[in-house]
Formats: sequence, structure tokens, C-alpha cells
Amino acid sequence: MAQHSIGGAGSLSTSTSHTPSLHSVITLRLTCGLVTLFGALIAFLGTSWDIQWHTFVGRDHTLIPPHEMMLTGIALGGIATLVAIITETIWVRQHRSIATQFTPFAGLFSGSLGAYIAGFAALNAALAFPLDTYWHTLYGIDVTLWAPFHIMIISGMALMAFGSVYMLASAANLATSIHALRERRTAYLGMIVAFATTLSLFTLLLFNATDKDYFLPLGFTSISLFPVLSGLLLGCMLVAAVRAIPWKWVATSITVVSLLFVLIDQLAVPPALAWLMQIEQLTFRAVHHSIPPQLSIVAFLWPLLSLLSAILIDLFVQRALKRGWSPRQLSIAIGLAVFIGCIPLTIENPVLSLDLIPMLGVLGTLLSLIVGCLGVFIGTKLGQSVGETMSTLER
Amino acid sequence: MSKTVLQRILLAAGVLALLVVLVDLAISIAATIPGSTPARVDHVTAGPYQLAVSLYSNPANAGYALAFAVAPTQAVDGSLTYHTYSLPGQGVDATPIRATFHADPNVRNGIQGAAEITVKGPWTLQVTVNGSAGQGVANIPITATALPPIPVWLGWSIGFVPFYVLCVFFVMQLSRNKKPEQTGTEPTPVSASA
Repeated sequence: MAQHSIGGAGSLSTSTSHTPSLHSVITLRLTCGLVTLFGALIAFLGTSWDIQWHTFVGRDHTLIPPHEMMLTGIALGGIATLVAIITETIWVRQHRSIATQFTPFAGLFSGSLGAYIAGFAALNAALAFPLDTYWHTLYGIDVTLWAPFHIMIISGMALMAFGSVYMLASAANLATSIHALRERRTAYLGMIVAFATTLSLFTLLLFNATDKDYFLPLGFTSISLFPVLSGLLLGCMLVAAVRAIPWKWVATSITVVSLLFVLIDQLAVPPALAWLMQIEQLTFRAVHHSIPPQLSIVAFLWPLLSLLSAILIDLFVQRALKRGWSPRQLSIAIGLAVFIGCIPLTIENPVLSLDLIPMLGVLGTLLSLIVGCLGVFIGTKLGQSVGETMSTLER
Repeated sequence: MSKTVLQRILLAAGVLALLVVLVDLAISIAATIPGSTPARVDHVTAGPYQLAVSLYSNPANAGYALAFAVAPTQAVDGSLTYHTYSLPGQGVDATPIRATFHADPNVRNGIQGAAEITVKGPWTLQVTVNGSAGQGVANIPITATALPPIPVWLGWSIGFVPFYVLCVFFVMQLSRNKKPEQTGTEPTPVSASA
């Protein structure tokens, strides 16, 4: 394959011995993107372990093994993005002519957009840890995911994975431009796993949304935030992925990978907790839970209908191509598919949505669904925009 | 405000955040290491044993480890084994935590360790001793203090920072992608090149 360098009069030119080749940029973004993704995945598994720990053992101190696992993942992602940005900045400083091929930041750095997102997110998640410790010193152990700095940690880790999607998308598009098929395939596979990791981490924040203690009171009634949050998440992630990756069954692949993570959770987290309790000589908290400690809480609270949503999205996209659906028809079909994922259904409670109706009342249920539709609309629009950017993003 | 200035402010905030993380990490590690002089020494009786319990921070700093040392004040036959816990007091929303320790190289049958104090308020350092004379338990009351509280609303506002940034990012992306002739809903060409 011909060697290409970046910059110059054309988009591609023959490499000189000094200018970094396009292959170098692709390799750097691919490697750093995958390492960042690996960090986010470690963080997800650590978080699942931590949820199990907090629920059954309680919060004891900051540097428990699940927290260390999360921090390791965050640090790995942060270091990988830093390496990517510093390397690309050095390249640009040495060869000013290629500066237009990179995203500048603060007049000091040059790099890929994804690296900035992931770096910011990793820093956010790391900063949230001491803040969370401080919050606990003031207000106690509050075993809930919807606490301010738990949200900051989890969303930081999720955005780290999301940043890696951008890094890999840029690598995929650069690889496409020079017909580097192997790199392009690796980048697309990485993007699928990165989308799944982002989806999985954000899904953790949905768990509290079906709990009546967390319904949003409106005065005359209360609404559940599950439909709107789920609509935003699924709409944004799955639609973006379908638009950004030119393969079949992309949305389905993402939710299947996400469910695979959940399966790993179920296989690894309960034994890990039992092992650690034995080492630390700890006992279970004297609080009753509907899920026994032998089962992974994350696995049992996982919203399952996202899989059906994803399958329908893929089917609709394929049918739209075959039958020449108008953009409006496709948007409506995708919106309906995403809406199905807004209905809560878990292994712990397969009839959760039916149980919510008496708790919310008819008006509360209807309002929850209406707000859910709004979430689906906004999520889908965002997904289209994000996917469109990712499909052409090179820097 | 120009884009570069805004980015430099963000960069400065990022560097500051990184410094906060590193300083907190350093303080967390330093808190586990006993200083040269204890801040408080309690002489307690644990069953048949007389012990001196040294605390290296008084009051304790909630959220950080409390370094401590335990040493018998009278001669003891044979060796002693210890179990140490920090126990939350009445009204403290926390769980009991096993404290870590190791043998004190300078004191026979003595230990040095670190007890985690997670929430502000009254706590007890519980030391259980086992030896040839039997078992004894000593409870040492501790008070833990924390930094001044921030309002709950401010905590939530900070906690949502990633979402503010995400929203700004999406808005910028939407405005960049918006072109008059483009609806953004066209189906993506699908190829089976996988």
C-alpha cells in the first residue's frame, strides 16, 4: 500500500521522511482509542462490582478494590488520551503545514476531537471521587446511584467511552480515505464496543428511575423519568451508531455486546464480592434486598427491551433502503422502535411497567409516556447529528 | 469572549482539577502514615491487658484514614493478636470498617495501623486483643470532623457538569450540521463490507 502523509496542497501526498504518515495518525488514534475504550470497560465492570458492594456490604472507605478498579480504568483512559494529544501536538509543532488536519485547543494543543472529549471526561470522573468522599463525610453513606457525585463519576466514565467512539470514528474515516481496510474494520469493531460501553455506563443511571422514591413530583401527580431518559439514551446512541457505521445490524450488535457485558457481570461480580468479603472479613448489611447477593444487581436491573428496540431499528433501516422509504417515514419508524425501549422490563421484575401504573396513576403514566416521546424525539435528532458528524469526522 | 480565551479558561480549570485530584491523593496516602508524635494517647484496659492507644490526628478527619498505634504498657507473656474496627456512633449513617494494621517494629506486641472514618460525627475505635491471658476489648471514642458543608443544590450543580458540557457539545454539533437542504434523516447506505 502506498505511504501517505497528511497536509500539503492535496488531502494526501507522498510521504517525506519527516512528515508523519497518515498511517501513523491512524495507528495512534486507533491504539489510543482502543486503550481508552478498554479503560472505560474496566471502569464499567468496577462500577458493577461497586454497586454490589455498596448494596450488600455498605460504603466503607474510598480505596476499596471496586473503586481502585474504577480509578484504574479512568487513569488508563486519561493517560491514553494525554498520549494521543501530546503526540499529535508534537507532530503539528514540528510540521506546521499539517495543522489544519488536527483539532486545535487553546492555541496550545492539537489532537482529535475524541481525545479532548475522553480526556475531559476522565478528568471529570477522577475529580468526582474526592468530591464524592467529601459528600459522604457530610451526608452519610447514601447507597443510591442518584447522588450528585455518583452521577458525575458514572457520566464521566460514559463520556470517556463516548470520546473513544469519536477517536475510532476519526481513525475509521482516515483509513477509508486511504483504503486501509484492516484498520477500518478494526476501528468500526472498536466503535461498536465503544458505543456498547457508553450505553452500558449510562444505563446504570436508569436504575433509580423506576423507583417510586425517585419519581418527579409535579404537585398534582408524579412522573417516572425512565421513559424520557431511556428515549434520550437509546435514541442518541443507537441512531448515531447506525448512521456512523456502514454495516448491517449495528444497533443490534451494540445491545448484544452490552448484554454480554451484563453476562460478564453476572459471572464475575458475585464471586468477586464473596472473595473480597472473605479477605476483608466483612459481613452483609442487615438490610433485606429482593435480589440475593449471589446474583448481580446490574444484571437483574438491566432494561431488556433495548434489545428489541435495536433489532427493530436495524430492520427498519434495511427495509427503508430496500423499499425507498422517505426520511420522514424512516424517522417515525425509528422513533417507534426507540420508544419500545422506553418501557421498563427487567429480569428482576418482568411486569415492572404494569407495576408502575398503579404507583403513578393513569395521569402520571400518560405524562411519563408523553415526556418519554419527547426524549425519543430529541435523542433521535441528536443521534442523527452525532452519527452524521462521526461518519465524516477525520480530525 | 474569543474561542481561544474560553478554551484557555477550560484548560486552566482542567489543570486545577488535576491538581485537586493529586493533592487529595497525596493527603489520603499521608493520612495512613503515623507521624512522629501522636496527637492523643489514651491508656485503656482491654480485659487483662493494659494498652496505650496513640491517635495521630485528633479530632479525626472524616473521609481520610486515622493513623493509630497500640502498645501494651505492661509485660505480656507470649504474643498478642489484634482485631481493630472503626464503629460509627449513634446517628452516624455509616458501616463498621475493619482497620488495617501491621506489627510495630519498635514495640514488642505493638501494632501500627490506619482506621477509616468515613462520615463526620462520633465513632469508636474498637481494639480486640487475644493472648495467653485471654481476650479483652477496648473502646476508644473518636470524634470525626469534616470540611465546612456545601449546600446540597451546589453539590447537584457540580455533579451535572459532564451533562452541561455534553449539552453544549451537542448544540454546537447540531448548529454545525444544520444546512438548509439537509434534513439529517436520510437513510445511511449500508454495505456488507464487514
